[in-house]
This record gives sequence, structure tokens and C-alpha cells, in this order.
Amino acid sequence: MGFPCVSVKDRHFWRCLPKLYIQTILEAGPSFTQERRYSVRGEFGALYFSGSKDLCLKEIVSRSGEDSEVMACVEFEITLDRLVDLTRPEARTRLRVQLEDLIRPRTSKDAYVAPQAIARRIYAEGLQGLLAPSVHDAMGEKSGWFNLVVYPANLARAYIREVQIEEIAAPFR
Amino acid sequence: MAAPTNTLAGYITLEVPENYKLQWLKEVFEFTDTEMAYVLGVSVETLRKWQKDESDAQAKESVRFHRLLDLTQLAKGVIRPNRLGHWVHHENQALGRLIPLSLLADAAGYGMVSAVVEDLRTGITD
Repeated sequence: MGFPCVSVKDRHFWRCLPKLYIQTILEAGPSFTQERRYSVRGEFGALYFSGSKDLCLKEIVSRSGEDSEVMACVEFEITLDRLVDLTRPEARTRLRVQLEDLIRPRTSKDAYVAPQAIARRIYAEGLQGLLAPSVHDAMGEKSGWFNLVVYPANLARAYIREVQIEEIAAPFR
Repeated sequence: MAAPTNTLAGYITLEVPENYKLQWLKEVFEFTDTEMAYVLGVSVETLRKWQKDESDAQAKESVRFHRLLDLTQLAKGVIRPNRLGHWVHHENQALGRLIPLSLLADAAGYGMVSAVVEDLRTGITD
């Protein structure tokens, strides 16, 4: 089944990290080692952005209250043309997923099952990422309160071609 | 008994001391004896015995002790050291308004708490 793709052009997105770690702002590695909503441990990592600075700040407050170290919020301008927009009801219908399956609280049992199943399909299709509803504004009532999930490996594939794959068994001589 | 070396006059850092790590954890997280014993899954009497050991020999046998140490290192640069005790004792919205302290005694709960800190650290959105 082909995916309904959308594009974003020169659109602004935000990521907030502790100031101490700001040099890692574009590293997707941590998401590769953990189960997260749209990335799967040991399979593929992702970079998670917010569609507004306010949503980024809301995420921080919901996790740390007033106890966090100084944070740094970075505004990015992003252009991508092969995204699946899960904020759109018609896209969810086509992918046979319900909104409530995408926005279950992280403490819920199986919170990531449906989002990860969708993410696997999108990643395997070689798409650049997806737009996703935020648990903080599931109905999308606030401007920009959604997330952008980017798959860096699929972006790299546009520039890096695998020439061959050779299986080698031990002993390696 | 010597005090942990990096909690002087109310100034707390998240650098793990060489000795008296258990005492240091208790101070960093602002745990009472009862809370610390609950998180470690031991009696208060056992906790007090463990605390007297400069080398933390018995505590080091506890997975839960190492989980607490790991949490302090995850929190480094993410939660202000002098607020870690506050953070662990108060409702956390991302955890469904559960109190982190109440989750730290078992592996699954610890996983949820550490994931929240990791996501703060790495900017992973929900």
C-alpha cells in the first residue's frame, strides 16, 4: 500500500535539551537504544521535534516541574517532502489506526505498540519521517502542537548507496 | 563516621563519592530512612547497618542500589542536584501524576522514571 505523503517547506520546528548537552541536539542515537513512541530499540532511531516552542516547554514542565537544569531551545527550519501526516484523520483511516492508539500516556500498557507498528512501516518504506499528534494536544487545537519525527537513516540513504552486502562467517581470515 | 565528601553545607553535586555512597544517595534524594529502606527493599535496621559501612560492601550487592546510582548519573545536567530530592518526592505529570519515589522500588517502575529523565536529556517528545 502506498503511503499518503506530505511535505514541509522551510517550516520551523523546535527541540529543547539541557544546555549542557546542546551539542548533541541532532543525535538520534539515544532513541535507537530505547523503546520510544515512533522509534524501536535496536531497529531504528529517530529525531523528535515539536511544531512549537510552547509544546517543547510543556514537555519539559510535565517531566521536570520546576526542577530542571537550564534548558536550551533550538529553532530549526526544515524542508522534507516524504512524510506521513498522522495528525490527519484521513491518513489514520488509510493506515487503519485510531487517534487514541497514538496518544496513550507513556505509563499505559502497550502505549507504544500501535505507534511503533506504524513507524516500522514508514521506516521500512524509506520515508523521511512523520507528523504525529502530541499527547499534550491530541485534537490539535493549539497551533503547532504536534510532533515531527525524522528518520536520519532514511535521509542518509538519499546520499549513500549500498554497493554490496557480503556475509562473512567466523573465522575471519 | 565521615560524611560523604560532596555534600557539604547543603551543597550537593551529582559526582559519586568514593565512599559512603549509600549515605550520599540518601542525601541527594532527600530520602528518610523509611523511604530509603523501601526503595532498597530492606528493613530500616538493615539500612542503618549498611550505612555504617564506608565501602558500601553489602549495598553494592543490591541491584536497587545500583539503579539509584544510575539515576543520579542520568540526572546529571538534567535535574538540578539540589532539586533531585524535590523532584523524586513530587507528582510527575509525565508519569501520570505518580510520584517517582513510589516507582523506584521495582525494575519496571525504575524504567519509567529513568525514561522520563532520558527523554528530558535527549529531547524526545511525547
